Amino acid sequence: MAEGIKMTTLQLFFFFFKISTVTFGGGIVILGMVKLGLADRDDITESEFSDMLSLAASVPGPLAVSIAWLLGRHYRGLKGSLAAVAGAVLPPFLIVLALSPVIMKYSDDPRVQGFFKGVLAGTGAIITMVVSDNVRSTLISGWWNLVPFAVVVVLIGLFGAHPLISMLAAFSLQLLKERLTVR
Amino acid sequence: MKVLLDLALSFSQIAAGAFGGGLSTLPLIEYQLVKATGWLTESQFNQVLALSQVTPGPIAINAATFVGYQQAGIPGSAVSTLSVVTVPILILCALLFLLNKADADKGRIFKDLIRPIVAGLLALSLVSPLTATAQNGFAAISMLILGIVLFRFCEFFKKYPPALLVIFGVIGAFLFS
Repeated sequence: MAEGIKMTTLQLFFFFFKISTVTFGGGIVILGMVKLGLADRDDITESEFSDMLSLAASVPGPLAVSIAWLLGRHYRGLKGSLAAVAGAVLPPFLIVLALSPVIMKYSDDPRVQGFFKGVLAGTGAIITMVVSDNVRSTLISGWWNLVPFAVVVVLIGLFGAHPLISMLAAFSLQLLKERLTVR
Repeated sequence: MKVLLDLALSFSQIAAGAFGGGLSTLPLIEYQLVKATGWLTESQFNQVLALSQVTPGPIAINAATFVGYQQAGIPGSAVSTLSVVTVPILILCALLFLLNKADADKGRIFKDLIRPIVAGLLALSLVSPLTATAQNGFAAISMLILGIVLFRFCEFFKKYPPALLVIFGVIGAFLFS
């Protein structure tokens, strides 16, 4: 499609604006949408994109933000990054901002509460699916994985510890184990 | 002014610990917004979670926009959302800077190490919506089970219609009011 012509700053903004408007829940879904959107472009290679993916996944924060930053940087440097991130963040921001006063005003209405209860039941279904798949595949890939898993669950779930501290504790354990085993 | 600073601090912490993306952020969001600051009650937290599922965008951004608005209007909303966005970008830039020196393998090793931790967070993210749904009674539990069957079905055909959750909401509005 775009033969050797790099995406412009404005194109980057609208590329992410469009994806972000129609992608619900964020996370991995958005990465798939970005990949799909780039499929017919020849100004980015498969390996460049997969490098971006692993980089985006190894930093904290919303994946949409980190992939937008990296892709913007690939095309237009800092200006591209800023445009892409703005495109990714503005749709959810504006939509929730518009809904917030309405939700706050009618949050006592039984129909609004009922709506959220229904959505929550569906959300519970989605989370149950995602979690059972992820936890199963993580835990069967090595018995040791059970240890940091249990540390996080027990510290946060049972003792109500701060999640950041619990994660740090589990991660230190992981580093220690990494040191002790020869790869 | 102080509330804006509190919002910035809370959402920076949420962003800094949001590894694995999406649902694995929930325990940290819940801790910050329900336990540490008291900005949301348990049932309001569940409402925010539900809201984030029927609006576009990542959960952390949806929560930031809503809670920021609830606490301090549009400025609060903007400050919270910017915090969730800025912190990961700063970390990413630091990483890009360091990567010139370190080997690329480190990224993969890091991901392996963080994986069981993310799994633990994911398991914890189940607690709140499942307890709330159980408390909402038999109808809610039936909807949850129906949902698991339906979404598995969707997964099989590799189609995920977000409208399905809105339909769940509309059914809920009739059932629970």
